[in-house]
Amino acid sequence: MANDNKYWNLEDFVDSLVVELDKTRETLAIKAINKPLTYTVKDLAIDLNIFPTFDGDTIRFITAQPGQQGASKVNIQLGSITDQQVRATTKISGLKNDTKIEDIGVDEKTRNKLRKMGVNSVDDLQQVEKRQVDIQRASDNEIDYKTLANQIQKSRRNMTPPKVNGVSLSLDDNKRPYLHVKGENFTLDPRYPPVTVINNQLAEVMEFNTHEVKILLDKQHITQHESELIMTFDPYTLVKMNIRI
Amino acid sequence: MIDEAFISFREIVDKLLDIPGDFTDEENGVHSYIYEIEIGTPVELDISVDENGKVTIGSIPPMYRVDTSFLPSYHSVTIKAEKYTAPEHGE
Repeated sequence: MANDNKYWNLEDFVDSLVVELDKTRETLAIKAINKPLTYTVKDLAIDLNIFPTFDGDTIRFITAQPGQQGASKVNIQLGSITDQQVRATTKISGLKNDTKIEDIGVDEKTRNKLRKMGVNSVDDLQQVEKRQVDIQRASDNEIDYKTLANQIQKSRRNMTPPKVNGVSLSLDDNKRPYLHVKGENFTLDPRYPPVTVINNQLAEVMEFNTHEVKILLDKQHITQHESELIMTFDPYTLVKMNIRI
Repeated sequence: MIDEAFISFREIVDKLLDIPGDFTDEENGVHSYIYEIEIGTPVELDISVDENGKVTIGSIPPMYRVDTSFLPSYHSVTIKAEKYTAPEHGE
């Protein structure tokens, strides 16, 4: 037995076991070309003599060393399953629009708590919400749902940041001057109309959509000096630029 | 890194299942073959963990048949295998 006996997670152990069995299957097809009678593993059971340890969060195991008495027995049984059965019983992970919980910047405690509840992605969280489950109550108030929801929105907004392609000065039908800001991903959430400020003074937004914003200008906005334009499209997005009007 | 006395779990499985399963009695014109087999064996395990938590399983059936003061900790593996049938083209 090697000397560097270390603690391991059951999940990592089973992963390794499955990978080993998969490799066996991969070579089987080649082996079968020259050896017509070959065998494939249908079920596998493994009895382990191990000592468990609990660090307050996860249970890990270490294999019993020679001469060590009193080890626990863990019996793992792996059955075989066809790829069709896998598709029918498993949620597809890593979908293009799905965001993993660890990617939205939540703290480790919240992440672990969510993982224990089977929530690994934003999509999982939405499924829970659809069933009217109060995550905050289900987690004994250990998860601040408002903060979590904000972080999810922020993370989504980071994936589609606003982009300004051009700013021009125009006149509306009443000959009033306005700034025409063109770009992408400006207003994505209809609950939040854009708010614009020019040189620390609120400016009226005449029209807006995801590609453009039209900002009405007052006389005081028009100077020969550089002006500071700030636009917010939702609580997570702020665009700041210097323009000369 | 697995201890050099051990081999990968895949090799153990390969070796256990590398059996001649054909029985032919040419005189009487009888041909039999094993279509399912269950093998159980005690094994020693060397489970190593790298810095990323990745587990590598090294294993070996009992190497020595002598009584020593400190006996190795034998785990047990049972494999049920069946005759491999290559999938149809396109499956």
